[in-house]
Amino acid sequence: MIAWLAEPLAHGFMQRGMLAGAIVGVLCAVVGCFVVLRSMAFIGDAMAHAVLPGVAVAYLVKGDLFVGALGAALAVALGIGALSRRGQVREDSAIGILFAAALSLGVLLISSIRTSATDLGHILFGNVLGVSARDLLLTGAIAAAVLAAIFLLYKELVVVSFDPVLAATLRLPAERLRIALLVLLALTIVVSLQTVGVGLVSALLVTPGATAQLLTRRLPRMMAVAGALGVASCVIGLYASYYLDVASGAAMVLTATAFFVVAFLFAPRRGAAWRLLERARRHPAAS
Amino acid sequence: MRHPSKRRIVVVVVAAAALALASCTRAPRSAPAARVLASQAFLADIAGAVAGERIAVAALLPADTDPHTWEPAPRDAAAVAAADLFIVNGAGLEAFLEPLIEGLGSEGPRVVEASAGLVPREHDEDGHDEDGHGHETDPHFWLDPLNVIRYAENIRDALSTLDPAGADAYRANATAYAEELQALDRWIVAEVARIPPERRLLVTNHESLGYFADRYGLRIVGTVIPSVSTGSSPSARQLAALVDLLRASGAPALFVEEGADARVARQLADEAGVRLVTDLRTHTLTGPDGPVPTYLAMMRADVRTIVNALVAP
Repeated sequence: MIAWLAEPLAHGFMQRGMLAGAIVGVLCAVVGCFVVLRSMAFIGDAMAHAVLPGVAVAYLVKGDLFVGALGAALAVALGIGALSRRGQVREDSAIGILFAAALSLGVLLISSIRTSATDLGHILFGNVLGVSARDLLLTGAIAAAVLAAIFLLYKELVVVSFDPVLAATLRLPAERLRIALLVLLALTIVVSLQTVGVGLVSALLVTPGATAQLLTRRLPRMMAVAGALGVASCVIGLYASYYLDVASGAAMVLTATAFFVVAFLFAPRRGAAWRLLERARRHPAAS
Repeated sequence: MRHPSKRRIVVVVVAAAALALASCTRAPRSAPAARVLASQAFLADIAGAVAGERIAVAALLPADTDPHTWEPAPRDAAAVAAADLFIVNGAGLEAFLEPLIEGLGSEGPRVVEASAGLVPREHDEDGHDEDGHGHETDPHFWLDPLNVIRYAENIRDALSTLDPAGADAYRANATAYAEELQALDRWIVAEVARIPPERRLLVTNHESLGYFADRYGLRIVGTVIPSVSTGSSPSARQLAALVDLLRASGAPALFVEEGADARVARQLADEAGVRLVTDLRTHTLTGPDGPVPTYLAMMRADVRTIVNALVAP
């Protein structure tokens, strides 16, 4: 068994992939609890694609593509905040508008760079098996910073997200906190994006959080469960990729999905199977 | 990493009447009022060598453009529609252009496949195609210069049909170009001979160097992305096997095409302790002022890159 577990780790790229997957798994899942509870499931996908114009501009001025992506994601995050501030535009509409605009701007810029053989779309398709030591450090540092910020601002973020009346009573800087959350999201998405790719980011932001929500109602516990599920999905997915010989990112996403399906069916009291059982017990004649 | 089948480059050969066409960059110098278009920069260059002075050849996409992120603009579609002859590589390389060509229907140009008549290579039996990709046709004929002689002949015939008055000139040009290709071939044979036989091993990001390897006695040990398809991504097992293969075979380097995403390949090369070479060009040229303005220059640059990486321990 130990040999079975250790064999894939003989390779450096597998060790880095495991670590990167675990870091991104925790980070996305914890941040994803806010995403799930605030019904912004598509912000991951949206922001991930919205980085394109930043990447294109960074390429044109020969800057760092990561910095360009981060700049674009922050701009989109702040734009979403600004558009939906007074509630004239709903947050999900703001996400939709800015995402579509940024993606199109990116495509437009990239197609006008007609002198380059470089495929700028690459930044969207990070591969967990292609993580360098530098990527790993950067990912780890940003993940630590984001998680620390969430820990420190936990109470305020929760109140502002879910209880605007209480937030007003407490005179919390609601606007700034909401933007802080969007900025944390942007950081999470961009750093995960270049490490593991767009497909995995959007899945890890939503699926573990949604699974945890089926299992517990308390937010701190939900974050812990989601984080654990995020890590487990990445690690199990990577082993599956090794032993079943399948694409790694897809294996991770589908592992997370499997956890979700199990929770959906068998979660205590809330699972579909549980409810069927309850109904059968209450109406024995009908079943 | 992306595959050549998405590479889209179109060349326009324009006659005097077509000076107004937005994408044409060279003025035609002679009478035939025919517009000829090719799909790739290197094809434009080869076609230009055959067409010579009679018909100007220009690329719809600039030579160095990455076709993967290229989307046809209306003027590109217009250029295809305005062409009388459209030269493509064939063998599936231009699959991405099919909707455009089919959309034009009867208004579209006559299409000639430069690789027509060449026999696709068989995948190695010992090889890298255990994943069932063996049935895919490898379109990279042009990486063996002797195959390009056939390209030149096909283009010569198509041009002669279009412009019978120029047939003699095209024949002479094609013959002269074939001699250049044979000289290139002899030079490559001599260059590869400098590599110790046990080091004549190629590991590439993509399966693109098959014809080259077949012709010059190099062995393709493995590829990072086993399929020619863009959408596929390798499994952890495949990559681990490739690292083992790199170590076991003693292949001195891992080659990635210019502009391709080298992140995974870089990790593998580090892991196996081999050199990573990222400036191989298989279908892009530089502009006229760059280091590889022509197909012949591209081949020479690639051979130098490969020989340099493999020759020294």
